[in-house]
Amino acid sequence: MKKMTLAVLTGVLALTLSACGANSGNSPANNAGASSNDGAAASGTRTYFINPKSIGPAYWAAAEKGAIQAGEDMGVEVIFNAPTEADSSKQINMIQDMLTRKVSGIGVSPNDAKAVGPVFKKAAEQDVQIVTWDSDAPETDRQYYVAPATDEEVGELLAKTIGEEIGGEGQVAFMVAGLGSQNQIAKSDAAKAYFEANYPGIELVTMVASDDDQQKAYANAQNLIQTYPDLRGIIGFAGGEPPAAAEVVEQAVKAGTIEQGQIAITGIAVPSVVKSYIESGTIKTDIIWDPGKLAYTTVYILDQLAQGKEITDGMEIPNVGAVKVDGQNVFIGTLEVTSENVGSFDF
Amino acid sequence: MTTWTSRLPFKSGTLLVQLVLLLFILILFSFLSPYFLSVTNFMNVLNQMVEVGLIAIPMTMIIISGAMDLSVGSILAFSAVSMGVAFERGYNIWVCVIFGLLAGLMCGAINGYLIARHRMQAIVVTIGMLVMLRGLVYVVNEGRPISGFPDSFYFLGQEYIAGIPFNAIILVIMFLIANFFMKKTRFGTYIYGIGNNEEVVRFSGISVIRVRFILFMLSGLFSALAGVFLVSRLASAEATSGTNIELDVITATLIGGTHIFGGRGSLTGTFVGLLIIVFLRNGLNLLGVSVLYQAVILGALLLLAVANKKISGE
Amino acid sequence: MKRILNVHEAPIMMFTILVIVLFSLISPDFFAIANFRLILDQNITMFIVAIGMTMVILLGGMDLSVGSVLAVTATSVGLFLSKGISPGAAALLGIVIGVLCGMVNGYFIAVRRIPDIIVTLATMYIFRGVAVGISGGTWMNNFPEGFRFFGQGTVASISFPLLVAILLIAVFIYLLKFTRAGRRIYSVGGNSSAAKLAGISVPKTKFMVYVLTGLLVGIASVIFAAKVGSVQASTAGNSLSFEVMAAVLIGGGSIFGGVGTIAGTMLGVLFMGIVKNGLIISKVSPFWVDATTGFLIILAIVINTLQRARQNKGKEGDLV
Repeated sequence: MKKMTLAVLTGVLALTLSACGANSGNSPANNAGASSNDGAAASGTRTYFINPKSIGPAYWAAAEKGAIQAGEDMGVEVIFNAPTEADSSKQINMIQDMLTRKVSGIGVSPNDAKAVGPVFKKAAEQDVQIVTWDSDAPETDRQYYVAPATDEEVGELLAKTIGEEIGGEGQVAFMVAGLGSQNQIAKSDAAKAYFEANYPGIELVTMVASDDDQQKAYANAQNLIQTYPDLRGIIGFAGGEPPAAAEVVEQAVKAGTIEQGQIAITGIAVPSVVKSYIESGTIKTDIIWDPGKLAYTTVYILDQLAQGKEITDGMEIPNVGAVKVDGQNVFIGTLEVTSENVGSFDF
Repeated sequence: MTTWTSRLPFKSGTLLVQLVLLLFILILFSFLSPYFLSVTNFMNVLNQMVEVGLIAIPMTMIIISGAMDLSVGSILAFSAVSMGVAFERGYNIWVCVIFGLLAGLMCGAINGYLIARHRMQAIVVTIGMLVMLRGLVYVVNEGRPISGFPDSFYFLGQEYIAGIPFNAIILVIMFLIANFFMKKTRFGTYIYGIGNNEEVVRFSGISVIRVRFILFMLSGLFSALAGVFLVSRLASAEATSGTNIELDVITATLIGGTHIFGGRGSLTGTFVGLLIIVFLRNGLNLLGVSVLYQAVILGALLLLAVANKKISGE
Repeated sequence: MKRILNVHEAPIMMFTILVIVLFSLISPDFFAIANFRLILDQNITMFIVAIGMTMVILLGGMDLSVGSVLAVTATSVGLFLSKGISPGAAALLGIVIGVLCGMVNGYFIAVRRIPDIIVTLATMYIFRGVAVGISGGTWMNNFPEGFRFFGQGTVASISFPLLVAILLIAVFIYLLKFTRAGRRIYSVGGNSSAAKLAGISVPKTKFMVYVLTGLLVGIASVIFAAKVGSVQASTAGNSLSFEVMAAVLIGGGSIFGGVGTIAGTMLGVLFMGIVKNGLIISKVSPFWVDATTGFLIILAIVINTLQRARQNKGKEGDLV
């Protein structure tokens, strides 16, 4: 019995330590922490919950910086958190928890556009401002959608880029993060439709999914080159795909299996990740937007809504610039990364 | 017989550690977050724990019987998507629910047939099923989420009765029924028996095959049920739903004091374990603690709960 | 005993050959030297980690944390490299970190006597959190050219990582078959109370196995990082533990311990690699790839079990 009491005591002590440790470790980052809660409520500071699809990928890490920056600039509290995996049920649990915390607004990048419907409805009933970013949830109670451009535009841009690079002729393969994720489906469908309409000479041979796993993306690219010796182009629709494809192509060129420039690669990737491949010419053009600015805009729009101000087309957002507002959509625009400007990005 | 019953839980207060932990978590977060200790938050948490909870019932039984089922998450998704596809074909939603449950039951039956009848290793068979069913989900609906269910169906996962979420009420009822079966019926005794000494049970003329088969069928059925509730709560049937849910379920079961090698454990313990992990997660979310630390804390807690049990138990 | 073990691997070997023939018929590109080299190359990490997992499973244990250990090690190697530490030293430090992770697992399992699966489930969460924490959410990439050698270099026109894998496989086959330490692993897994009576220290054996597994995962993760060229801490090695476990069990190992060989495991890894590669080469629809993989895994186990049942029939009578 004595032993057990001792054990329970150590357990309780350790948990206290871990809980406190986690708190103190985290509070400087998001300016939250338990102690500041009451003070925040009293002084009327607004709190926003910015919720990406998952925590871990470089893309979301860049977005976090923008969101935190926006919080500091506007004097509001920003909590940036998500589950470690892109899972819609865990994401919704987290949003529900944050609604309990009575935040002033939520900025969500939904894993499933339909599944967030009920929780958005609940949020709207509580007068919480709702903005989606990066991925949309149309037909819900969200007020605005912040994006670089529509999924269709991005998909078409990618298709156009690769079509021009390979001269409108030959086999092209798609690499996606997940076969089931909505923004991947929308982009790849648009790219496919663009090929059919504008480049009848381009044959879409297959679509492989990595489930966001770098090694799987790498093996997928290897298998593609092995299976389709006449492959001319690869489009990577998520941040992990273009670098994996480029790495494999560079290794194959080095080993002499394919010629330099035989396979053109484009896709969506953070510049810092594909920098070396762009410099070596394996990737000529990469499409991206600044995820930090996307998150910054999200916080800004939320704050405007919370203060009852209007969102107007062409409005100037500090640190971001003018944005295009089309109905309920806010577009910040895409960037083309090439060997000329790759050094100028800081994300 | 006496050797089995003497090892049943609750005799030596094995749950004490878990209860103290739960109480401690509740008190700690009540102090740390002003939003934690409220009826809405608690009901919210109850609403969220249903899927993991439902699957934890058969999982506890299976682990007590000395096996494991890793395919539950894929069965959940498979049933959910089967139900969705049937609904898209224009069937009545409740017919689709039954269809989804049957799909889960069938998956469980395949597991059970291979594991019980042919004595294959449960872990390998269920890993195979995990990969295969997840793949089949994509085959069935090409990865596109299915939605647009009628409002009457959302009742299951979103409505509250007397301020308590309907699905949580079902969960508690299921736990009570299952607990009764485990404690008061022969079937429960057989499960403990198989976990302790399969040979002896077999020589006493009890069909181990049948018991194991029923357990895996139950696991399939409850996973499907969890799938139905999940679809109702999220208003959408997705190909990715239930990914890695088996880890949450097993963690809850183990924190609840069920012995991984079988023979010992209880549904009450699992329920407490479940409460521990959901309240922990909810509390940390409310504090805005990053999920990275949450994972570390959960891992540490798991070690702690079990380490203490080892010291006190043996 | 030896004869039985030899027969033990026969069914999976035949099934593998059958699958090879099938894929060769479907796709002419499959049966080519270049493709077999590719398959070997893609599964180096699996081969090396599977050696450790075989020993763990021989003990009757299970290591769910290998994927997370891989993430921690690969991430820290990336960090060392970005701090300007020389490739060789960074690789060595990475391996040391792998060993340390193994020691953490070993401590709780052997010294504190907590069941393997619980410890490794817990460390799976913990190490993953640590990996993403130290990475700061950014990718580890842009490794120096010198470091690439560990994943892509060649020695006498044979790929360097493949050489490492072959060397490790040879060493561990020798260790398991011909040394006392290896015999201890089999006896602890086969019957741990008998092993205890025979004077074998069960905790010591377990500790050693987990440290060795950590070492192997450490080596594997250096190769992983150098080969793939980038590491994302949150997803690196995500499904590794299940895949490696499946490979060991397909290769004839038993989850209850005491049964299995490294050669069998390697066949299991090869089988999984061939299936994954072959399905893509045969241009199967992407939606069918996972479903077919799972089906083939189950089929492999069915075949294994049928064989085992036939062998055991004489001994156990008709109990089933």
